[in-house]
Amino acid sequence: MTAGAWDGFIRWLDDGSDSEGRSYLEMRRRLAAYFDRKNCRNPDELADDTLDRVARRLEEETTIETETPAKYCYTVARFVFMESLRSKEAKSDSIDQMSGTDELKATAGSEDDERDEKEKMLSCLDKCSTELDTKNRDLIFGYYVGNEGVKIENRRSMAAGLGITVNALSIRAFRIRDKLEACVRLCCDGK
Amino acid sequence: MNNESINDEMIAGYILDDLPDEQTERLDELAVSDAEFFERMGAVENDLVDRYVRGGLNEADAARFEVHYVKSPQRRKKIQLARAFLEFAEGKTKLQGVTAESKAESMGWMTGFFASPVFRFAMAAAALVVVALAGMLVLRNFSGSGVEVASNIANQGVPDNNTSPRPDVVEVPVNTDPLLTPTPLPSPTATPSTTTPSQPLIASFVLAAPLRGGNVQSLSIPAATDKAALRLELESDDFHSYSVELKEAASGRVIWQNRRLSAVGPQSSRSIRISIPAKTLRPTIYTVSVSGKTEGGQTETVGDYPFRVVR
Repeated sequence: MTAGAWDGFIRWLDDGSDSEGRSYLEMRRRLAAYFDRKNCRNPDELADDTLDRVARRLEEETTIETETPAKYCYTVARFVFMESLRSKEAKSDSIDQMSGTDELKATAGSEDDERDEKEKMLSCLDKCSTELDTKNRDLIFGYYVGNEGVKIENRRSMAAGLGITVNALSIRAFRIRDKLEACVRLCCDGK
Repeated sequence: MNNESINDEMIAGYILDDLPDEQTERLDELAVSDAEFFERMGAVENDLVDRYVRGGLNEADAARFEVHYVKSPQRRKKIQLARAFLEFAEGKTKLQGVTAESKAESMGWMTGFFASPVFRFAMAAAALVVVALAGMLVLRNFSGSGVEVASNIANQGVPDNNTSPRPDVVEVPVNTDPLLTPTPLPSPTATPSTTTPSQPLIASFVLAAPLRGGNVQSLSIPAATDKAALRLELESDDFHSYSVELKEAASGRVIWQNRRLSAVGPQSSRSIRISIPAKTLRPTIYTVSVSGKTEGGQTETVGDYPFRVVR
């Protein structure tokens, strides 16, 4: 793909806004999550494959107006998923072969490994939480205090205190936790 | 199916691959094409995984979770992260003195008494009296030592005690959020030649310790209120003195306290009275924690009085 075609693809994905490439990363992430939910063994590769096909089609046709960019990406992803199901019959391309608990047992490490992994995560959480600003830190840890009924009441009061709906608060908490988890993953990988 | 008809339960079913094909396909499309839905789904997924980690899923969902959700390496990693995150979060909030369960447990000993029919009848009768008097008291102005702008108590002729902290009491600095800075009250008469001092506006409330699982009492504090006077009803007056802390429920932060209070009122209905600057009270849930001190100096928990401020 030429640089011009790539720029055109990013602009098309942006669909009128200028996200500086963030819309590509976001779409890739949503596609990988889709393939993961479908229990595909290589969700990242399938997401890349999907975006390649969309970009090539856009380069050939110069425009795709039948659907919004996001909807079109889904349409292609669905097609890619169906193809992967057919290829599963020839080779094992899905993790549906084993039940979840069998998969857990097969991939579980020793107790020591698990303990080490957990300690590492806790240490990374400590480091990553200091990189959040105070307001977000207080929000994310206060959001998860308590069990069930108490937690629900607590979240209602937090939302009321911030002057937002409970749904808006849950999205805010999701974004902060998402950022925290991404930081922890990088930290655990030694980056 | 439109987006409004998609609730969190349906999203959880989608995550557990437990929906009919048509609904699954619809949510598949939304999860890729709609950024807002993707985030909402992420929030539901976090809660679902957390409930699994805490053992809070029902049997069917737990079985479904273990058959389906844990299949993928990415989702197993998410479970690991959730375990670590929850442990870390609980550790953080314990350091701040907040455990929601400990607050709930401290009210447990009152369950038997407050569940009794006698208490419920007494509460119903008291509620009727309160409603009648609230109407009268809202219409009062410029009498006594302050202007009472709201109240849910009957005037029993008992003098207020401990409305200002004694020298040996620590008053925790108030929230400095500029949004809470009160606007000065206008003086009752506007002419410059008068020297009549403006009178504080007081909102008075009675707090009974709630039933476990019951509703948190709501206190509606009018905008111009200077002080919120709270009367904390006691089941019995068993202590030499009392200590009271007012905390924000979400953060556990203590925003007001007084360590040398006495119970007042007739023997049949002893209570503790406190007066809090209204500007410290935001629209959120607070807990008043009361503990009693014996003559020997030992401290025991009396109870918690949660309430929600509405403005």
